[in-house]
Amino acid sequence: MLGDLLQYQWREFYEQDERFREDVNEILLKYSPGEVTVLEKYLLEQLCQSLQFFIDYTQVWMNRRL
Amino acid sequence: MDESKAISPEIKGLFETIKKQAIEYSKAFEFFEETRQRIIQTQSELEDFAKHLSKDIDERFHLLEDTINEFIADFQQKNSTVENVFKELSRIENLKNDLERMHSELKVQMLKVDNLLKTLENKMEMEFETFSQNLSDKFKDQVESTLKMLEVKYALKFKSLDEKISNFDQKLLNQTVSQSRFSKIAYDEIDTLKEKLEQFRQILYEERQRIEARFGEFSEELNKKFIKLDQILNQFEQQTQTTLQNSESSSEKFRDELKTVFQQLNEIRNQQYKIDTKFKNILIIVSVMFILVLLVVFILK
Repeated sequence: MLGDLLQYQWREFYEQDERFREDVNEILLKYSPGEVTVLEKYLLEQLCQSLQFFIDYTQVWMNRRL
Repeated sequence: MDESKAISPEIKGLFETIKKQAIEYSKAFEFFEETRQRIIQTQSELEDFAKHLSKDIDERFHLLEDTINEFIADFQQKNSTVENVFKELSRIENLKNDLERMHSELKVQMLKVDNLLKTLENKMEMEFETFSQNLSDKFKDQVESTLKMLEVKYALKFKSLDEKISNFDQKLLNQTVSQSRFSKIAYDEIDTLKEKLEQFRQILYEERQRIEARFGEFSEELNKKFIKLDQILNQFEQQTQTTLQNSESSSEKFRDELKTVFQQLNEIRNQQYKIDTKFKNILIIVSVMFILVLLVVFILK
């Protein structure tokens, strides 16, 4: 139900307020009985950002190596 | 996250895989960091080594540059010396060539001069022979003519001289006869004159002795008068002193005494002057007579 709220009713609020998002994500991780697509999507996006950061960070070395 | 049901197992597996890879990446990055640190250390060491090497190379370069500059300067100096030596050598070679050329020219000139001298000598000999021959001929002719003239002239002169000599011989004979008589008379007169001169000399000597004795007496008398004059002068001085000390009334007496003293002084001076003049006259007469005697003796001798 919280997932559906986040996906439809609180979507904008979830995307804009970071504090609310972290709190909601923590609640979902601890207490959610089923899979939450919004959380998975958010975590995958975070992972993608981290990987992109890693790629950007190591891009200089790769260029040097090249 | 492992116990959470909010994430699907595929995503969890994906996260696990990414976590393992992150750990591997972390290890790799640690290795990279250590390697980077070693590289940085090695780089700093290499930079230090490079700096040291650069400094060493700079020092060696400066040393080498100084050595090269010294070598170049020494080489340039030696090169200039060698160039000077070569210039001197070339000059000496030129001088040697000039000397050889001048020597050969001198030889040629000497040969020419020898030839000229020989020809000149031959010409001079020929000229001299002809000239001497002509001169001797002329001289012989002139001498012969002159001798002939002189023979004639002197023959005439000898003849006239013979005549004159014979006349003079005759005259001389006559003169010797008359001269012998005259000379006898003259010798007699000279003997008498010598005797008279001797007598005169004796008289003169005696007169001189007498004059000298007289002069001695006179000088003695003069000394006495001088002593007397000194005494008078002393008395006068004493009297003047006493007179000055006494009074002005005795001035007339003093004047009289002064007059008498001056009169005596004048008399003595006149006597001295007369004696001096007499003595001078006597000396002049004696010297004149002595000179005359000497002249007569010189003439007789």
